[in-house]
Amino acid sequence: MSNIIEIVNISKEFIIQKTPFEKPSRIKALNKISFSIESGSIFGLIGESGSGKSTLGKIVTNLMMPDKGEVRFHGQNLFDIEEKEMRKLRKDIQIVFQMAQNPLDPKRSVEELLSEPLNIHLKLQQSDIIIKINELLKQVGLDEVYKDKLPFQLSGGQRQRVIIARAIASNPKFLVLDEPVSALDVSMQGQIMNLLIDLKKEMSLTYLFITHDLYLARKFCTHIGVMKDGELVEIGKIDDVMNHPKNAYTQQLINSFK
Amino acid sequence: MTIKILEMKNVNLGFMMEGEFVKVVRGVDFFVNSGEIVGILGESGSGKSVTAKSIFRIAEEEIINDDGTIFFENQEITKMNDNEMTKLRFKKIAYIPQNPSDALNPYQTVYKQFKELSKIHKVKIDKNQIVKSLRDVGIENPDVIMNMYVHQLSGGLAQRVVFAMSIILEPPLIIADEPTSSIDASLKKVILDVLKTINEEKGISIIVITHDFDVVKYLADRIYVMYGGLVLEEGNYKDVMNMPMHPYTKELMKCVASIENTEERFYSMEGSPENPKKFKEQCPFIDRCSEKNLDCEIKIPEMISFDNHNVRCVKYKERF
Repeated sequence: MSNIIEIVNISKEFIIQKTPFEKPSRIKALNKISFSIESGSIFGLIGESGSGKSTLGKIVTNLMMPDKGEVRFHGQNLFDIEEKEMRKLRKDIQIVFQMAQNPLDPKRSVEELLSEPLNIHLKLQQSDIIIKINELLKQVGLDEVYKDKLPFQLSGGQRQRVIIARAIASNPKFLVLDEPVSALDVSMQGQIMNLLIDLKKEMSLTYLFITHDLYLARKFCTHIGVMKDGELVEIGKIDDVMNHPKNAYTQQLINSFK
Repeated sequence: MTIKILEMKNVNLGFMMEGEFVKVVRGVDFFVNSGEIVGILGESGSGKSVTAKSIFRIAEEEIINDDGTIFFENQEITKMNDNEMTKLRFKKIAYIPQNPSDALNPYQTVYKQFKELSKIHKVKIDKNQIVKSLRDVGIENPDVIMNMYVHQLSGGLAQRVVFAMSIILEPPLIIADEPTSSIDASLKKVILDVLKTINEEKGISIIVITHDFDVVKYLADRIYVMYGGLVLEEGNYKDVMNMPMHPYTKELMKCVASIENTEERFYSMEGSPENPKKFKEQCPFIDRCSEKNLDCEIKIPEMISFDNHNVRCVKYKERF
């Protein structure tokens, strides 16, 4: 299998200054992270809050620049190409944010929210957009009556379906899923996870799945990387890591989970 | 003999929402025995948090208790004036909110806030006691933390500071609203252990409100399962887990089990919980239930008792 994404030596520092009076300090959010993701696999990135997983998700999708390192999509370094080229690539690389961050514009209806990526990436005609929106809604399991609804009129699960529909609107090849179900109730999680399983098959997607939930990672992922304090401490096939963890921190994590 | 430290009877709670009265808790009966850990299990919108807040009498303007009573140590909380209630808070009942940073004063150091507690309740709290209670909740450097302000604390630390403040006066009842939702997995056990220890060593009763099965599994002696503003099932933790009776409880357990097993697909409970504005006088789980029948629509099902295991489902009616 060929690699769809290669992450090479990524480092990122943040400058933190909590009050105007104290000296700013530097925090290593990511330290020399390297790994690759095979086409068609689900790579789980696991770690506690502050370990750097979400930062890495943003860098992989070129929403944030690293201090050092490269992200190669089909061999092409994302930080080495022109903005125009990158725009074309955005069609193929999409991200589903944590719902806690409320990524939907509260003033726009579901229809408007979905037509935006179709306009930008696929440059469809208005009549085609309507057809495509209906298709998308069907794909994510939402009834057409939701087209005119605003985000606050939707339940958590429905909102997450809209967020996913937006991400898959441009027919991407690679999707970063940043805690896609952690804000949802247990009774809704299964629905969304099954949707992600179905979409992956239908659209031959590759996922980078960011989570703090080891159960979800074990069930959903084919590969896993364990992060701690900005470092990737262990990486491997899901069964190998879960059954024979080599790193002390991974062992601790798996033990607390059992 | 077991003494009921807290008893709620037929409590109805609601909000004024865009000019209309929305009932979110519909006739909840609830009690806590002295020395017991009671779990309230429910998903968002089930009314579990509001129920707990009504015991502590916070968010008063919004909660309208149009009927029902809440007794704490034989005193009726619902009839107390604000002064009496202030004396109760943290001395008799402590409440640990879901978002702990909200419970702390941003203009005061942690130490000052402990001192405030001692001033209000006219009890002496010295530095050593504060250090000890901070250490009890797993804070390694209490001397440093004590002089910090809320904004300097991480979510997990703020959580534990509120925990320490709750246990320092050793109140007979502690209410913990989602105690583990803002902290990482490795800290989760520390926090749950703190609750378990104070219950075992000091006999403090605890109400723990959660959507997380792990939390009730680890702590609860008895649980209430809430959905759509109603208690749908109540019983000893082990009874409910070994033999769940309400279709909702059963489905919920299948969802949890499905995340933990390694089959390819997840168990999916279709539909989503009803919006409180659209609550009808019928079983709230009706749209998602695979075992429903015509009786479910007639009215809100009554609670049916089997020894100490109660369930609100018409399915069990014909047995009597």
